[in-house]
Amino acid sequence: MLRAELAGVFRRRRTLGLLAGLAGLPVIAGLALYFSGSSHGHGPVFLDQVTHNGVFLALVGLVVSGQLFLPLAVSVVAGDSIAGEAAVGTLRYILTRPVRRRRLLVSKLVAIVAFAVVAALVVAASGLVTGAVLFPLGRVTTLSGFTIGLPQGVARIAAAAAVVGLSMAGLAAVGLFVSTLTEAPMGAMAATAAVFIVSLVMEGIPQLSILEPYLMTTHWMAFTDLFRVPISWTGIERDLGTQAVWGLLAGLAAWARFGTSDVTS
Amino acid sequence: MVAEPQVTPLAIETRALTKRFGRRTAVDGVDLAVPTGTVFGFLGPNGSGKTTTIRMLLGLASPTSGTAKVLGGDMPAMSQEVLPEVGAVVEGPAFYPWLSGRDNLVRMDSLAGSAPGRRSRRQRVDEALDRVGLAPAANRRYRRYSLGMKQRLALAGALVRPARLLVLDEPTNGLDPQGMREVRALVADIAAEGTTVFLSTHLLAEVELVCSHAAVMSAGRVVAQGALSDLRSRGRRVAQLGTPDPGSAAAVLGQLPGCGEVVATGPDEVRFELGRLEPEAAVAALVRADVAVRSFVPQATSLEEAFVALTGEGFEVS
Repeated sequence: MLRAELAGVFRRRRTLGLLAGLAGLPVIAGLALYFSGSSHGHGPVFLDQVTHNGVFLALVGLVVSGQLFLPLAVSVVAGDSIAGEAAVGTLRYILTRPVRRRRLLVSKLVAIVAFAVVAALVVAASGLVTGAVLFPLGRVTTLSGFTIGLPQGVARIAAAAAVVGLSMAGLAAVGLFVSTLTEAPMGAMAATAAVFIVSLVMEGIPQLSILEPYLMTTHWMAFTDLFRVPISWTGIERDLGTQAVWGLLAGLAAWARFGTSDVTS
Repeated sequence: MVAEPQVTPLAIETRALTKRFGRRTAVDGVDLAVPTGTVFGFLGPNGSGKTTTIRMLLGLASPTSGTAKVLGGDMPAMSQEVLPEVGAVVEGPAFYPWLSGRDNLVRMDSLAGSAPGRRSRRQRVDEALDRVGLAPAANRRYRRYSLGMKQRLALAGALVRPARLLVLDEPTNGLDPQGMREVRALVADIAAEGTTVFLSTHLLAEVELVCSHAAVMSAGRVVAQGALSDLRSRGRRVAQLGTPDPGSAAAVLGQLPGCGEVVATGPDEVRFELGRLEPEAAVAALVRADVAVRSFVPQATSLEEAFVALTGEGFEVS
């Protein structure tokens, strides 16, 4: 079931298109830096380091995509998960195979998170390759000023990509829940995207700071802590903890909604 | 799913099955009894509640009240035990447009963990495709299929696994006459292997051609069900009488209990409703009253007449 679900997601042309689009981000950023020469100290964290060390392009890719493009792609896949099956009509055939509804939800959720992790890895890999082609490579200077060897740096980039992917778990579950509410996949995708955008906006409003620790987007950048010596785990733990709570609540909501509802599509 | 020890175990049995959507009652106290091994026609005009009933039989929707047993198991509670032995086409074909016909069937089959022998999957899929005549188009994307091919693929999907019960909702929709004939032959084949077939349709001719039993839905209720021969006899029974003396014939017949209206259909011919009257009793009464009888032809009612009488409405012929 899970294998079939994963194959269903990754064999689809749309998924490959999303991955290709995400892979393009570091390439564009890399080319821009290559031709402009420097970032003059503006832009996201790590950006000013790229021209000295191409490895950092992978991190720039993760920073840039992690806040917007990756969650957008996750919104597309998650919003489509159940609503898309309902719209095509395959949902009724899946359930009469039979597939338990709970099992279907869990497989869908795992497949969405797997997509997020793969997408983040693709961004990082694309950044590494582009960085290696356009810029020199070398020891990685961490945020705390120490340097680490190149292999160690690459390993940490892979870990960072995994963390970025897992950070999408909360959003994935919310998208899954939204997707059980409708037979219109586009609506579910848009609503899911709206959820993380609202969350990002709320993060920026000082009056709502009391809510900040609980927002699914607050700790999305925690992966940068992997580039400290020693690695600071608190942010990442908080991030994954927040995702687990959101994932659980939204997952339960999806189950409450979908577990017994009539399938009329 | 052990069948209850009865003389004819029922493949489907519903009691007072009811489904309401808000204030509208789509299915209203339906009692179905589908004997095992029959080809059971589930007949009714579009919108009479057939598909909603089927959705409840397959556990896709929960009844508002009443119960549904399929292969001896309560639905939807026992879906996971019952459905592996049921093949279904519900409300038309539905597949992923971006996959080929074969890949669609393989994917569907691999979703259910309980599939019999994963290794046999390819073979079972190919056999099913072959059976519905889709083998040559198996590798084409579903998007490129014609409506008839889509319908066949849905049928193939129901045949990928051996089933004790096949639920087919309007399986000939979108097929040309040749395709319809093939599907009917296929249904007959499947039934001959001992599979119970529950076939919903709005086409009366289809029921006459392939079914041994039928239930008639009208406005959410079952208005008649049973063996086709029984159903036929429940319609209006009419006889044609040839006589040189239609006037006295009408007078005699009019006095018989249970006999209906007498209509002159020619100078020496009348047609009348037999009602509950046996044909031989009518002839005897006419002869006793010295009415000359030249010919007497009781007319077998067609199913159509029977069903129009039962539902009070016609069926679309499309």
